[in-house]
Amino acid sequence: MSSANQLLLEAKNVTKYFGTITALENVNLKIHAGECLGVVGDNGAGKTTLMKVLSGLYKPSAGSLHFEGKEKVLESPRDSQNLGLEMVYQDLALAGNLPIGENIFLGREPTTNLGLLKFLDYKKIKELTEAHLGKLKINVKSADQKVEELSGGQRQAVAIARSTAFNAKVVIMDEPTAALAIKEVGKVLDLINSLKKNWRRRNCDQS
Amino acid sequence: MDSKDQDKDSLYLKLIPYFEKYGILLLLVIMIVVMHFLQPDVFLSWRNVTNVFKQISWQSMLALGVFMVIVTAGIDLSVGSIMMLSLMILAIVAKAGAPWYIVVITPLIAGFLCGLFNGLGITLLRMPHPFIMTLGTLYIFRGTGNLISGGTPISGFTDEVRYLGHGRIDLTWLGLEKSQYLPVSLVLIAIVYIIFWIFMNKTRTGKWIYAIGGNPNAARASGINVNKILVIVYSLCGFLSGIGALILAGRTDSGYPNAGLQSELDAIAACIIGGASFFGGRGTVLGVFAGVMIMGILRNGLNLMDVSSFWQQVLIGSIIVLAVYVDVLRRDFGTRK
Ligand SMILES: Nc1ncnc2c1ncn2[C@@H]1O[C@H](COP(=O)(O)OP(=O)(O)O)[C@@H](O)[C@H]1O
Ligand SMILES: [Mg+2]
Repeated sequence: MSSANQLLLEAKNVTKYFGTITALENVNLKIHAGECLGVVGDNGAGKTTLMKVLSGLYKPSAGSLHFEGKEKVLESPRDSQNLGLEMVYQDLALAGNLPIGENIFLGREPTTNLGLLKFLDYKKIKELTEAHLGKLKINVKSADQKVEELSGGQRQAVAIARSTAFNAKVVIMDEPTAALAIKEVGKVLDLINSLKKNWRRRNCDQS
Repeated sequence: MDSKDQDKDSLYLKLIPYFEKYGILLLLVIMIVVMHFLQPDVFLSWRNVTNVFKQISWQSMLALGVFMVIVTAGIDLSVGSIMMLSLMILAIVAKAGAPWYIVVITPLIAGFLCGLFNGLGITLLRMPHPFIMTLGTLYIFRGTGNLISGGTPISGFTDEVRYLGHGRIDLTWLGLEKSQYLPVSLVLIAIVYIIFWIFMNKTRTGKWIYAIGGNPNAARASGINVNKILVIVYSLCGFLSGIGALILAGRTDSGYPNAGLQSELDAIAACIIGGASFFGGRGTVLGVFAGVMIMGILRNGLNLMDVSSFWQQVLIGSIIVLAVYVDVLRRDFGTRK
């Protein structure tokens, strides 16, 4: 278990270009265990880009990322997930055609293996999903409901549920309330606050 | 809204997923009943039913391949040409005197490699849309098939090579007549469709294929290697086209330049009629099978009634438009609740 002020994640001189656009220039960032950090900036300041670099969705043009003191090169979000970092994307990154449970476990589904073939363990997905949603007091009709049938607030709750289902050390949320109707904002903030009490680390982006 | 209304409403809403899943089967059953009344002596006869299955045998393979591609929100226009090239390679290898077990495997390997070529082209060359890559290979593969065969038919295969497309399973041991046999191609369709149903519904890769069609960014953000899955899908599509070539070789006993001409359009039509969405992420293996059957039965029934093939074109086209319109209405309803 990490001590209270252990350095979990550090970005050193991270720079990111998109063609001729400089989205990030020499960004330095430290995140310690138990701390809640907010990133503030104008539209187009580069907040989303920074978080996508941290999660491994974008590769930095220059600079380096360090997880618990060790430099890591992230090839895909899978790598950052394995290092204990979870991300709630601004555009939610949910597949509307799939049920809630399959979205939460997308890419990390429990399976029964038969040689090369990996068969989904639907029962386990459903059980784990129901238990996790229950723990976070997220109300949906059923874990089998397709995400496209949910309200904006419910979708955000599913995205947050996914980021907390795998014992993450760092949770990054990109504008978790920006896309929501006002009456749903309160619910999502309540959810985030209840997480704060139970979880170790989070990094929220709210402009 | 009073509670009685709500009950009625929720029952209605509960039925929608079933209608979505099995509505197309309902259409199929209605068609069969109508055809039966129009042609009571012939349509449901053993001979005619097996005929329908023989006629849809190779198309059903192309449709299944194209279906998986459409689920990823892609398209494969080259399946007819893959089948033709695989068939020509089979014919040349057969004429060269290779043993049957080699001849039988060549179209499967050729089809797989063609599909792999498509998949690598789409992902590595970062084509803006699979339409473009597979439009290109539609010409490339058929041209190659003509180059290697000189553009002339190559005929005459051994019984082993023809078995899957032409073989008969005798049922006289069940007390049936000699003419009441089971086409091997029908058994093959059943086996292939069951395998791919399991693949699409029960395996992790199948789930990822649906996820990519639903939202490719979500798939990528979940750490799924989207390009790798796409290459697998296009390769499998090519492989299925190769199976189509093997069936066609058995049925026609010949490799010929026009094999599978425009059959990519039939394959796409079957998927659309069967409820697959061009936007990706939606559709079922059962639906594709129903789509293939509906097109096969329509052609067969109209042939039985001596309706010209021009009317068949008009009717199939109308069914495509109608099927998609029903889907649009369903969506409207789904979002209005
Ligand atoms: N994928 C991309 N391709 C090109 N430019 C991009 C891309 N993503 C972001 N940008 C540019 O990078 C800058 C920062 O964007 P972003 O990180 O989304 O800002 P924020 O989240 O702070 O509003 C903007 O100028 C934006 O246009
Ligand atoms: Mg942003």
